[in-house]
Amino acid sequence: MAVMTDEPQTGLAQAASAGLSWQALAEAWRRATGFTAYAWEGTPPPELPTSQVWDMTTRAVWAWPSPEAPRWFFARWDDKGLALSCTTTTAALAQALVQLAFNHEQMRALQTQREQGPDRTAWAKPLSLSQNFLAVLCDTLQTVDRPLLAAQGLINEILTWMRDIFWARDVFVAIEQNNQTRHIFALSPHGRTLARYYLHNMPEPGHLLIEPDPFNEPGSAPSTVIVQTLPVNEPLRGIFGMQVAGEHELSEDEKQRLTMLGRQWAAFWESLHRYQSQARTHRLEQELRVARQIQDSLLPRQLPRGPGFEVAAFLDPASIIGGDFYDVQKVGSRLYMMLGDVAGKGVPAAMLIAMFLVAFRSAIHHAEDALSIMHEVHKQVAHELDRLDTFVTLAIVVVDLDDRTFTYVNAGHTESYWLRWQHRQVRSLPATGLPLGSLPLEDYEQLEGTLRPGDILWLYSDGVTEVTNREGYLLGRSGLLDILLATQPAHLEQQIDAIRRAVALHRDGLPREDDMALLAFRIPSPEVPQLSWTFVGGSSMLDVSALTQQLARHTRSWLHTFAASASQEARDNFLFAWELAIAELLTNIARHAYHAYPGRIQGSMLAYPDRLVLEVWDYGEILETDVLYYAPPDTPNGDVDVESLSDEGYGLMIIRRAVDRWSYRRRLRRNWWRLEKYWPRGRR
Amino acid sequence: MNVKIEHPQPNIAVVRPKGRIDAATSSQFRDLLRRLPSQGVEHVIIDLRDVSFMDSSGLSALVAGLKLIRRKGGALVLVGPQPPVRMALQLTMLDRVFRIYNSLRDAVAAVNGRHY
Repeated sequence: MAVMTDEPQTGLAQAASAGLSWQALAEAWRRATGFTAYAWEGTPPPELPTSQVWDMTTRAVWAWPSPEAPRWFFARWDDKGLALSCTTTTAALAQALVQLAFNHEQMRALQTQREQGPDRTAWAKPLSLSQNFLAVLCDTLQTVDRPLLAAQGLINEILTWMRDIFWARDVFVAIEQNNQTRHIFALSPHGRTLARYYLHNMPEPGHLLIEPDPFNEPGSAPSTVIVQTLPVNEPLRGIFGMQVAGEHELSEDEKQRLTMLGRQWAAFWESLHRYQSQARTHRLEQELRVARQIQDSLLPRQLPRGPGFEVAAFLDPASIIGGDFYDVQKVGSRLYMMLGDVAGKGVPAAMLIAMFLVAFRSAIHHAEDALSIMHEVHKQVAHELDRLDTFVTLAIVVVDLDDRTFTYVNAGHTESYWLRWQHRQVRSLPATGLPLGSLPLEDYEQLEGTLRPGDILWLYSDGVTEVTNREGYLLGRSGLLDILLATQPAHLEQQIDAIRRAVALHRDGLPREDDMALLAFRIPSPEVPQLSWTFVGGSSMLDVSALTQQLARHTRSWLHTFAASASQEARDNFLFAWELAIAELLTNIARHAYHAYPGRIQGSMLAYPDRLVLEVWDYGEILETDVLYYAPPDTPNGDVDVESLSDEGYGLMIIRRAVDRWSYRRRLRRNWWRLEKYWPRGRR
Repeated sequence: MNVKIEHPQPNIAVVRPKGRIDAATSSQFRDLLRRLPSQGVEHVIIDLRDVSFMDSSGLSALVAGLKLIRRKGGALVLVGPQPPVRMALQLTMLDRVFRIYNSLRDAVAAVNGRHY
C-alpha cells in the first residue's frame, strides 16, 4: 500500500521538470493503470459531468480548476493502493475527497487487510479516509512484526496527509507511557513545541479545544490550535491536534470528524502499545523457556510403578516456569516423595528447584525417613536460599512398601491428606515446621502412620485450592475434599483429572495466577473399582442431557468388557434402563434440588466386576420425601382411568425399577445419590 | 429433537418427532401437543419410530397430551416405539395406558374405526 501526497505546485513542477505536461501525466497514468484520466486547465472538458464532481464508477484522475481560486486535486486508486494529491481551500472539498475514497468500490487496496475481518459492512460506511487508514495501520501492526521505528515513517505520512486534507500548517500527535517514555510526532519544530505544551496541558477528555496559538510569534500572521485528548487507557496518555492559519471556526461536521480521528489515533496507540508489550513478554518467555527445559529434564519423566502401590502426579505451571515441583523415587522397598513450592518464579526459581531435586535424590540414598531427608536437603540448599533471600515450602513422605508404614515431614507447605478409605475419613497432615529459608536450621517434627489397602496420600500445592471464581470464592479445601472423598477411583489419574476439571469449572475462564501441583500415592485394595469415570457438570437441562449421553457412551463401552458373555439384547436392555435412570436422576437434581437454578452436579461412575455404580452429589436443597417416594398409582391391566393418571412423578418410578439398588442421603449439606445395577450375565 | 406434523386427514395429526425427547427438549414437545386441538385436530398419532430416547419428561408430555385429546373426545395413539422408548413405557407401566401400533396404517385405521 502506498500513500503519497504532495503539494499541487510540486506535482505540477515535477510534471514540468520531467518534461511532461499535466495532460501527459494523466495520459501516462491512464496507460499504466487502465483508468480513465483527465487533466485540464481552464474550462473543464465538456465530456465531464458538470452536476457532480466525482464519478464513482470510473477510477478517474481529475484536476479541477476553478475560475475563482486555483483549487484542484487528482487521485488514482488501484489494487495496490491509493495515490492522492490535493489542495483544498475548503473543508467541503476535503470531505468530498473522503467520500470518494469511501464510497468507491475500487478502494480494494485499503480493504485487502480488512476483508478477512469480521465486519466488512462497517467498512463501507462513509467515515473518513484518514480514520480508516489508521485502522489499517493498527491491523498491520498487530499482524506484522513492525517496531515503532518503522511505524514512525507511516505516522509522518499520515500527518502530512492530514495536514493537506485539513489545509493545516501542522498536525501533531503525542503519546506518553507510564509518565516516562514519550513519543512526539509533528511536521515542524513549531508543531513539536505545541505537542509538548499540550501534553502537559491536556484539554478535558472528549472536548475539542480551539484557541489562538500560544506560541505565535509576535507580528506574524495569527494562527489557531485545535487539540483534543486521546481516549487511551492507562498507562498511556496522549493528545492529537493541528495548527491552522488565521482564526478558525469549525463546523459541527468537522468537529465530529476530528473527534473520530482522535478515537482512531487512540486505537492506533493502544494497538501499538499492546504489540510492544507482547514483544517484551515474548522475549522474556523465550528466556524462560530455556530454564523450563532444564527444569523439565529434572522432573521425573516416569513415575515408579510396581505391585503393591500406585503413584500419580501432575504439575501445571501458571507461567512458563512455576515455583511448584515434585519428585518420586524408589530405592529398595522404600518410596520417597516430595512436593514443594519455591517463592517466586522465573529463572532463579527454576535453578533453585533444580538444586532441590539434586539434593533430594542424593539424600534418599543415605537417609531412611522423611525427617533426616528434610535435614539433609536443607543443609545442601540453605546457603543458596540465604543468598537469594527466598524461602521454600516442602512436604516429604517416605513409605516403606514392606510394612506400609510412612514418615512425613512438612516444612511450611500446604497440609496433605491421608484418605482412610475403610472409614471414609480424611486425616489432615499439617505443616510440622516453618518453611526452609526462614531460619538457619529448623527443627522439624515427624509424623508417622500405617497405611491400609485403599488408603491414599495426597500432596498438593495451594494453587489447587486457592482458585477464585467470578464471585470471589475460593475452591478451598472443602472443594478439593469433595472430590477426594467422593469415590475410590479405578486410577489415581482419573481423580487428578477430576480435580483439574473442578478447578477449571470453578475458574470459569479466569486466568490462573498460581501453579498447580498434585501428587497421590495409594495402596491398592480389592474394593477398588476396575474402571471409573469422574464427572463435573452443570444443572441446566442441556447440561443434564449432555451428561446423560456421555455416561451412556461410557456404559456402552464398558458393557463390552464387563458383560461380554451376555446377549446383545441383554446388554441393550441394561443400557436403556441405566441411561433412563441416569436421565431421571440428573433431571431430578436439576428440578428439585436446584429448582432450575444453575448448580454443580458431580460424581463418578464405577465399574466393579459384578456391577455398575453411579455416585452423584449436588449442593442443592434437601429433597422432600414426597418427591422421593411419590409414584403414580399402579394402573390395573384392562380399563384404565386416564383422567386419574398423573402427568408427573414417573422419574423416580423409573429409577426404582431400572436399577437394582438406589439410595439417597443428605450429608454435609449435600444430596448424595447412589445407583447400582448388576451387569447382565450370559447363560452358562 | 425435531418434529414433523402431517395430516393424512384434516382431523388427524401424525406427529413425528426425531431424536431424543428428554429434559432438554420435552417442554417443546409438550407445547406442540397442547396446541393441536385448537388447530382443528381431533385424533393424534404419535409416530415414535425415529425417537432414540425418551425420559419421564417426555412420557409426561404424552400423558398430558392423551388427557387433553381424550377430553375433546379424540384419540391419541402411539406407533412403533423403539426398544429404549419401549423400556421407558414398560418401567412406568404406561404401556398399559397407551394404544400402541406397529404401523401408521393400523393406527389411522384404528382412530378412524375407533376400535382401539
